[in-house]
Amino acid sequence: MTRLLLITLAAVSLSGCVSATSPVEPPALDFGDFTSQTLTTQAWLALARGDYQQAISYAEKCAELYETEARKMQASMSEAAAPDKVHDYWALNDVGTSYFIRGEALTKLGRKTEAIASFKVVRDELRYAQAWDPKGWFWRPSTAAYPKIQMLEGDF
Amino acid sequence: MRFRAGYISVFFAVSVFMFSEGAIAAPKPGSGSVVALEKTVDGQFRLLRNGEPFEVRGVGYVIDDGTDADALALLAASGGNAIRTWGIDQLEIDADGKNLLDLAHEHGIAVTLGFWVKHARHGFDYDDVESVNRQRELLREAVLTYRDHPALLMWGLGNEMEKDFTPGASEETDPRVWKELNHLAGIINELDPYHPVMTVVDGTPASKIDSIRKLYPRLDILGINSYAGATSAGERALQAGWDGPYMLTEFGVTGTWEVQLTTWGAPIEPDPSTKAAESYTAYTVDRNRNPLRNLGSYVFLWGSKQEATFSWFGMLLPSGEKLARVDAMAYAWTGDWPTNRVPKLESMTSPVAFKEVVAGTTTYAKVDCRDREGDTLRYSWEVRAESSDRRVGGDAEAAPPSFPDAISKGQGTDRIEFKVPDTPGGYRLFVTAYDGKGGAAVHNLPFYVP
Repeated sequence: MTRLLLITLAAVSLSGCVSATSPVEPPALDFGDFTSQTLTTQAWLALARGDYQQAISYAEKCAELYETEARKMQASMSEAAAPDKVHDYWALNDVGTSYFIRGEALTKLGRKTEAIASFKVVRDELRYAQAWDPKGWFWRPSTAAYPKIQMLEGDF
Repeated sequence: MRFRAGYISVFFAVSVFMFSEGAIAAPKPGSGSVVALEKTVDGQFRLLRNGEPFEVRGVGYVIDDGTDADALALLAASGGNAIRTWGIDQLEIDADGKNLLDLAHEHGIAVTLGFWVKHARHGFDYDDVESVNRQRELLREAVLTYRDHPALLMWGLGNEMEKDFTPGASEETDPRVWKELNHLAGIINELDPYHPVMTVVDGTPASKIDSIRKLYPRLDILGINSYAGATSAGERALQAGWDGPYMLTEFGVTGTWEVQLTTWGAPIEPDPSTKAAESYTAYTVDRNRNPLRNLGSYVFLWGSKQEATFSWFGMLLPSGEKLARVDAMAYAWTGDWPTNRVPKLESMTSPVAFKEVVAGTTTYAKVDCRDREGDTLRYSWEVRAESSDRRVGGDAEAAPPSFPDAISKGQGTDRIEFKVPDTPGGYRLFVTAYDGKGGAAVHNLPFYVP
């Protein structure tokens, strides 16, 4: 589950022949139109290409701008939205996903305690956030956060 | 075979009647087990086996090479108490000269006895009366043969038989499937009123749950197969309207169809520790979230199976060594880690990993693996072609060819040199670390020759 949305983004990091790699300037932060969708997408792309600090920055910008709205949406729900209603909860979905991405990036950077905290926000506080998998279904970052936390806290 | 509402305090007085339908002259239990579902007034459930509460700590079981005694002993030692099979044919394989049910009973393992209900996607025609009747007769024979075995826990009537794996297929299911299952469950109820009927489905959208409730009223326990979404699988079924008990019947790792792909379309296998954490998490979260609706679970898969790779779903190597998910489930089941843990694979690296690489290149790979008890590790490396026989729904796949001559230096150690094959295509480099005490770790890195 944790890798679901990375599928189409993975090409960024997985492409290229071994003998054909060359240094690439890290792209500057581009918040675009500052929508939650743009920021979340940029966070995914940064994570996929291994720019973990940028992924964190995009994710945190998304939370900075939309977390209040996201938490209102979460508070109004008693269960995850049905597929035809998911997009009504856009802020919750994107902020929850951003916290998940942030947890992934922090994990890659070895910032274990912060990563656990980020995953726990998704798991415990933004539980009904959903994200779209390009293969054709919604998934829940909160569900995906469970094993991430176990991996960081446990001895597996 | 309907359960009736009852109270815990009066259960023992009524247990043997719980699966009776009154009009059917049910046989009295012989030497076999008596398993009942207890429903309390507040809509919760417990499974009772010979009068005692029984929480299923189970595994899907596929050992078919005569090593059942070892595999079952390992399961029992790990805290497992049940196995699930898919077809009656699994019982007919002699293992150590004994039937699987007998061996399971010797190890204190209960068996959900699977009966393979044929799939329309494999050509089964519900309008073919002869085929339908033949399947009914096979079930009748199976129930009469095995109903009195003391290891029998329940009947596993079908597995994902409703599913159309065609991309973009509708979630709507063929109503004839549920009607026929209801008929088949009636056969079981008639011949064996002492064991519940569970049917295993793939996913629980509201439309499916609605069809089951309307057309399959004899179903006692809903079995749910779920991989990446296993932690919330039960929750989703309950939200979709399922009002009975359920079990997670396949879970444990993110599926091959749910993970990140390489640019050439090869699914990237999670590392052993990630898979172990996923198994542990799915089991504990689902169990704790839905107490007394979840009767237990069957983690996939005790044994080994080629599905994208030979290591993706199996909890044991083909040679019998346990992998990290066995230890994780032992921890989940018992609260304690096993005395001797499997090796922990920290990392596996190679310059060619996830890359396109020139044919014939000589390169290297290394693995960082440690053993918690300090056991000396032995390593085995192997280059295999990417699977070209990918199927859906868990259908059997052929193992891809291996290239043993590719390893040029260091076989047996934690660092090797190897030659990239000359033939274009996808490949995987596998490493297996053995601790010499029945534990192992296996992982792989894909690469591609254009």
